[in-house]
Amino acid sequence: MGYFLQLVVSGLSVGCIYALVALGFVVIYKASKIINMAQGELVMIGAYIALFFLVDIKWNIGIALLMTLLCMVMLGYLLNRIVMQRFLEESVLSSIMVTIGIASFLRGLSGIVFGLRETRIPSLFGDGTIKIGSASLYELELWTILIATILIVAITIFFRYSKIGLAMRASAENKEVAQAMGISVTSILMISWLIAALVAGIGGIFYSQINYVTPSIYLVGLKALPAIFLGGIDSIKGSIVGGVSIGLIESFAGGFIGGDIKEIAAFIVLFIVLMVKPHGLYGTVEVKRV
Amino acid sequence: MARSGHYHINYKQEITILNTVNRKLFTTMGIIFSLVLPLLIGNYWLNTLNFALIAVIGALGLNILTGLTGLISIGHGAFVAIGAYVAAILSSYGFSFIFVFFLTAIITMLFGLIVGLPALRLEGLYLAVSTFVFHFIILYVIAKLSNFTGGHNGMSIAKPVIGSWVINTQIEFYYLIIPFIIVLMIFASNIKFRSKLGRALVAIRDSDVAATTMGINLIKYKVLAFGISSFYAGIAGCLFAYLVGFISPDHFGIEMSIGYLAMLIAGGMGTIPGAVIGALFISILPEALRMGVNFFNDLIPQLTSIFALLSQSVYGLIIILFLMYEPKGLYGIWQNIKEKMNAFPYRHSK
Repeated sequence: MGYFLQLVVSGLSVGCIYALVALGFVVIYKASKIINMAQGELVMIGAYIALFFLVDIKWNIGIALLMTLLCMVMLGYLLNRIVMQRFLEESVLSSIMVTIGIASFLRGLSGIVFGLRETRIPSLFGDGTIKIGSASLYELELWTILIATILIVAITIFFRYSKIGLAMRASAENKEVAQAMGISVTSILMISWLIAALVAGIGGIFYSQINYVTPSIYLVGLKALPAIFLGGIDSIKGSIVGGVSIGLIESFAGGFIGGDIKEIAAFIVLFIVLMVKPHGLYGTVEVKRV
Repeated sequence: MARSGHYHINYKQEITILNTVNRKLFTTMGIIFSLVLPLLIGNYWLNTLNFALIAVIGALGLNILTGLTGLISIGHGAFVAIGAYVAAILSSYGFSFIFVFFLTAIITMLFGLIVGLPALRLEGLYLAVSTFVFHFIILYVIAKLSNFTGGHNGMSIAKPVIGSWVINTQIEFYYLIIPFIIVLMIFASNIKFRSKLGRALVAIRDSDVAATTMGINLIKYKVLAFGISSFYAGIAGCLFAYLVGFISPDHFGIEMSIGYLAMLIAGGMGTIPGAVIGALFISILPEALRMGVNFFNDLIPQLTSIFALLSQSVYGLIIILFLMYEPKGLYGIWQNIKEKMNAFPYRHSK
């Protein structure tokens, strides 16, 4: 039972991070019908920037985290302003390939700028464990779950009740009508990229607390891919449900089956989802008009 | 303004591949050049060129699937991996090169047909992502079947032998690949320009609903497109395995699948010269970059240590720039130049 609880907590904590990253995917998809394959690279760069501010120049935690998020927002702004804005009306192949190009570029660039080191960000919430029955749970994981949940709730509230959130939902529903109502689709796209970069940065900071900061963190982005397809590619609720489920599935696969099945479990789930129910749990089923 | 040029008056002229004097001339020159080239360059560049030629075969295959039929596949490298491993396993049972070659192509084609079936349900983005995932799963399966494939330790493959000719050096390998490339290019252009199959595939790309109403069997042609593209991938994989002599799952990372798409984008989507130019360009790019780094080595000595990262970012940058500024790729640039030359004193020809 204790083992089971441990698996649940560690699965939930990773799942919350996947949900955060998946949120970035969904926001961009809703604004532009583009799957951003560079989301994982944004997570990696977020982790490395945090490492730079926290460890290399040893700034105060609050300022360092704030600066990290600021840098991420700037990166999102530049990516959208220079490249992605042009791909609003492009074909699926062009838009998916341009994000893959960005991914490759960012991976190389971050290696050049930050080096390929593998270190750990000192824990922000302590390294202790809490005993509940026979299970010993990492404090860090519990904090991650708590803060990620608060963030996810905040973002959901933002989408549901703020004016910008309403505009974003409107433009996802129907671009032409939204434009006729005075919503600027390009600035909606910009806001989506800023949010995506921001949540990627937060995800990067959390993920590098649990694991090491390595160049291979970008794989989180690939793990969030199954999450969004499981939940439904254009559904915020779906991305959260999908992210948490993928985290739990991975944790259980690693805990009960063992071996390196953990690495591939998420992809197997994705493959099955795409074959059986391509639009996911909460996604809108696209009806093709001739 | 009446313009001199080449006009078709009957169907036979329409379907002739080498229909103008210039084309015949260029093709002959191209073949002669490709036969003389290995005598002019060193062993190192010959090795690069051999890999590039194998990439050409793979890119020709993906061109049929993605360029002609419009089915996006980010899992083409998985079929190359299947081809390479099938070839390695078959040759470990002592079959001769020619036999292994044809059997590999056919087995990989069967794999493609099987994968094509579930892919019928998916379109666009969903297909792209599922092929992407398929690549990871195939790599995992290859690594797990260590009884046959050696797992992560890889497996080695003997040198190819045809009759009493042992293909040992790079130059011999080059002359082995060239005939295959010529045959496969003719095959690809036959499909594209003068077969019912090619016309059906292009119709499906442009609108699959319209294609169905014209009586084109979607299931048959989509699956066939998968089959043919993996036939090419199988050949590429087989030659790759023989050229490297030792294969492991690390050779067939997701970068390979992405690379094939990048080749089509850099060369020009849906065109055969585009696929060839793009494959050569993307494969030779790292080596050209290495030359550049060596050139500047005296000025900035750190460059050599970050070479791999540098080449990765340049590669990404090239994909981005082509998509932003020249989506028709290098072949599109060449056609633009040709058009400008034709119209020379004027700005536009029509």
